[in-house]
Amino acid sequence: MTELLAPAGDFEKLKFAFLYGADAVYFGGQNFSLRANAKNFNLEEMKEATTYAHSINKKVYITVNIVFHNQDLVGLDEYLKYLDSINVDGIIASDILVIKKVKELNLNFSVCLSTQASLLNKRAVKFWKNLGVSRVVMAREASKEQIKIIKDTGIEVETFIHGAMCTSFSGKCVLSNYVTLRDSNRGGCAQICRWNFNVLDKPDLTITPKDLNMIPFIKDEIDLGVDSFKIEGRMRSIYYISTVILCYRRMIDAALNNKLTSNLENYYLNILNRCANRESTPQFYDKLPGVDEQYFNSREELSNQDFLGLVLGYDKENKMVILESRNYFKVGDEVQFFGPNMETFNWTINKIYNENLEEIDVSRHPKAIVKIPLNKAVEKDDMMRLKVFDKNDFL
Amino acid sequence: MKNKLVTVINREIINDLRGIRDVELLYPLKSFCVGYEIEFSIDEIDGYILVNRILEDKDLDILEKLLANSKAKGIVFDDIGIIEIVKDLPMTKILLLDHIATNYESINYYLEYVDSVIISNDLTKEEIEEILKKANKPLVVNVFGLKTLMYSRRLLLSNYAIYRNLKIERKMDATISPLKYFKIIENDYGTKFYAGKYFNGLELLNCSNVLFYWYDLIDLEQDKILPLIKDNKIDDINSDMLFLDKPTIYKVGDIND
Repeated sequence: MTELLAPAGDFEKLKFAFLYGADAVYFGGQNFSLRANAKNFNLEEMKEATTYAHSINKKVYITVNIVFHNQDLVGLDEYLKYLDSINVDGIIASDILVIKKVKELNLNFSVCLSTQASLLNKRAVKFWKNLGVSRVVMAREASKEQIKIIKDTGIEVETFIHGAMCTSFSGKCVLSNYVTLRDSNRGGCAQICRWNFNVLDKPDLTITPKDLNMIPFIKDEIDLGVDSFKIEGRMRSIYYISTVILCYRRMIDAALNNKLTSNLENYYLNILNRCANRESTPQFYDKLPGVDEQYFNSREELSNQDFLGLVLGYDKENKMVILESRNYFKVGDEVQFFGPNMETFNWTINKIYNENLEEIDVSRHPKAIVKIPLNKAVEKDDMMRLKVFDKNDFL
Repeated sequence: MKNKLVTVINREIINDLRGIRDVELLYPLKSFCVGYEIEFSIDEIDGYILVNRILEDKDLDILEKLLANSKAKGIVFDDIGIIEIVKDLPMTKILLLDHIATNYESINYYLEYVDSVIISNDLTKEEIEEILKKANKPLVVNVFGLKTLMYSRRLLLSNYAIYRNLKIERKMDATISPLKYFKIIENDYGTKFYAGKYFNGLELLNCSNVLFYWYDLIDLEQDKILPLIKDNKIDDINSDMLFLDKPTIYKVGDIND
């Protein structure tokens, strides 16, 4: 069974990732992990998160994936021993130092080779396997053919299926260091590849890739035997995490039941692109990416406020949903409710009440508690978004 | 003793370089490098072979056959998978690992499998000196050349030209604001971004525990090569110490919180 692996920038995101269908999450501690701008977890939170995940039969993997400088070595042994003591399921690392230490310290968790190691061939797999690595995250540049070759070595294979792409091979870029002195391989990437480069007497050079989505090849990768599907985005919102995980959960389940049609794929693709405010493509899996896999006009992204509210509860007696507002909405708006235990459905807002049950026309304040008449029951932590697409338009 | 490793970027000057007593030559291997305009077939290489691409298995199969009959003295390579195919060959194995060889413990682990490692030049002088002091074997130190900033599998210059309906140029200079200069070189296997100014680490020349000092002379004018290699003359070369005197920041999150 292919694992669906979600990013968890903090405990709230971890809970939503599991709720919306992730089998496992990955996150970083406050040291030794990339994404230094994510909230990340302190030691106590890591223990709490691991205990919580195990209580619902899910897994946690900890990113220990910086490229170490001499001065960063202090405290690493103790940190790895701590991770072992709280029973994390595995770590994700690229520095040989971390991988060797797990073996030397006789620790129990599994080691997954990070995509930072840019792994593309079975000889490299052999090298890392001999050091104790049991799973590899393929370089995002891996083709289908290469994934198959690696899978045939018998090692567990994890592939990215959705999210932002580096322009570079991961780990092979220090543009950020050069321009800002922020070390990209120690969590400080300033995303210089998203900037415009000036060229004399020519239009600006842009090198930004579109995001990755593997929607057309989900079934294909399942058939290849890929062990884990990874979603990128530890800095993303709960709305993003929940939407992406739910879409892929449903596509994977549909694929396993031979019910994943191109129309359904197209529907989910539109939801995912809208959610990220970016276009996405399968990138390297079936070809060398070209013009269509890059952006050329700077940030072709239009921010949206689709996430309208988080369901706090449902008043069955009065048939009202209780929402925590997230963005502006008003009476007459066409919305959708979605969640892990229901089919997405459309709704037209006909009334809004504030916390004191006074009728209002508009909910304009984020985090305000409001109630909306709704004749279908919903559950806590379901979500309400602006209706942009209707499933029936695609099916 | 030959302790200068010089990348050959110009065929016309090979014999002059061969004539310098302390110089060993490093040749970018045809079809196995990115970021070099001049490459050499395996038969032409009598010094060290450079393979700086990340490789798929079909590439490694070809490389394995090429190396089997090579007369090269050594190989400098980036892809870990190459260790498997060179381990029994009678040549010096040097791991390049751009941006990754940044601490002495990791380097010592890699030295269990290879003869030497090239220390990343994303480091300060003090960091490099500490690595050299604690390394179990002599290492290779970057002392001069264009500093690699990024390696992409994408054909970034071709894609740009196609989209903009321009003639494809596989080498380009670019800038971003605040003024930072880049040199970009593409071939069929990808694109490399380099810092526009040459990295000047000549003050590392007297370090100990060094196998080679590496001069990676990409795009350097021919008349400047010999004065640099023979006498360390860089008077007319636009250069910079880059990170040697400027440490990078680790925990950016702490700054923003």
